[in-house]
Amino acid sequence: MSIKVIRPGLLASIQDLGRYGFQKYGVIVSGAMDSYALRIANLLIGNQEGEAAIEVTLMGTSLQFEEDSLIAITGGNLSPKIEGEAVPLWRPVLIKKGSILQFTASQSGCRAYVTVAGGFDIPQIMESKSTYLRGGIGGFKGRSLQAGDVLPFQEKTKASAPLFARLKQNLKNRSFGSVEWYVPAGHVMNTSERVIRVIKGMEFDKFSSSSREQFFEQEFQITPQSDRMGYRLSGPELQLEQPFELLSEAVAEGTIQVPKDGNPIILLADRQTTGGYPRIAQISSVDLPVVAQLKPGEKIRFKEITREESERLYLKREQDIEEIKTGLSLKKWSL
Amino acid sequence: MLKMSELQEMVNIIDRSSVNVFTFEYEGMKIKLEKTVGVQQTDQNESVIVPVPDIVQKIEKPAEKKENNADHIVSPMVGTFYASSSPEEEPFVNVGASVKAGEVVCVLEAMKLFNEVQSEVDGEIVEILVKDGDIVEYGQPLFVVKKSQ
Repeated sequence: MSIKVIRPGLLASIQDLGRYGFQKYGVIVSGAMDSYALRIANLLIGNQEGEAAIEVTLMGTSLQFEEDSLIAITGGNLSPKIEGEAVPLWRPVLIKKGSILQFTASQSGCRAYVTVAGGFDIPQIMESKSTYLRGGIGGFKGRSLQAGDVLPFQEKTKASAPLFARLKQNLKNRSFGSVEWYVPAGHVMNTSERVIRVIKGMEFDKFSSSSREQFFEQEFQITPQSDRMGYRLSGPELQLEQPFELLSEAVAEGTIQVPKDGNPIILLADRQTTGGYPRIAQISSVDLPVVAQLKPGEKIRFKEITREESERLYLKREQDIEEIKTGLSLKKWSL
Repeated sequence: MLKMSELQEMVNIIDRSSVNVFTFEYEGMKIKLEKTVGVQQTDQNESVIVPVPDIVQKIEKPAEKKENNADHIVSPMVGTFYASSSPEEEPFVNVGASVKAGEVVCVLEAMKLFNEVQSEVDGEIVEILVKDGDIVEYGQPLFVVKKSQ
């Protein structure tokens, strides 16, 4: 059981929930930019939620399945097609042996995740299958996927067997089959302007009062200088009240730091382990998947919430995922 | 195969719930649980007699329509009704829309999963009987459809 990469597209890499515990040695976390989409993509087909997936960026990726395979595609809608026919997202899909899955163009969002039942048979390096692209560590040969790569699967889990059997029975002559239920993807939306919730950063009070106001009142645009490491924003230039030197300190996913030029940077999955720029804000964990699906050119605003509110949102999200798990296990009964 | 303990648990849950009839099919096995919901004895007290004919009429009306090529799309499950796949999207169908058998007409949310409901017949949507966000029961009519000849 395996996938063959026909075309890698803009950027496709193997990512799981990240490589934790090694930042003290300078090894970055990496992992899926949209961890919510990754988790759901795994749960849909009976995998552990942290199994590795192929993270597809924007377009051009094309993958051939060498056996009948139970897969799921979540995240942004990058118009996935199997043999030319549109494939539904956020549900289990059985793809027929020899069929080609292609990502053609972004309708909404920036990144899609492809999981396979059982997960990819790729060695864990420092407890993770994620690709640390700049460091050449982990994933498939430490690099982004290239044409001709063959990614083997692990044994399918027992949990996926009834789903596989039912979809296979209904497949007939078609190149893929799916089910009539799905997990809603509320966070990948095609709205013109998104509001990202943040808590004040460690150095928020050191910014000038006009910059503090502008940060919450004006919009920022994602610039083309944005990648898995971070998004550089353009908008009002944010200035400190008094210049000061900061010792390098730990930074987290979603930290918004402001270099001397005043244009903020949102640190994301491939962020460095420490940073020395003042941190104006920290994005609430639940909105990180929203940010991960933003494309260059799109605009956002920031809204302040308290740390307590951010925690409450986080717990609510985790409860929702628990409910999805229960819902999915009940689906198994009805197969 | 269902374990005795699981069956016991199921019976207990149904017993405590407001459900009166429960059918369950799994791996070729079919179980039907029916509660003895006693007709309330009213001690011949005339003042509490339920106006039965009214209810009967209400129930029979849809049945009459059915004979005139009208049909219902009923809910296959308990869930929350949504006419569109997300708040920003257009509804799957409006009154007057023609539908084909197998076409998705609405989604029902249960346990954070969205379940598509399909029309079983070719026809025209005559009436939508529920609103966005309504909780619908198993077997509850959702749409009135006029079958095409």
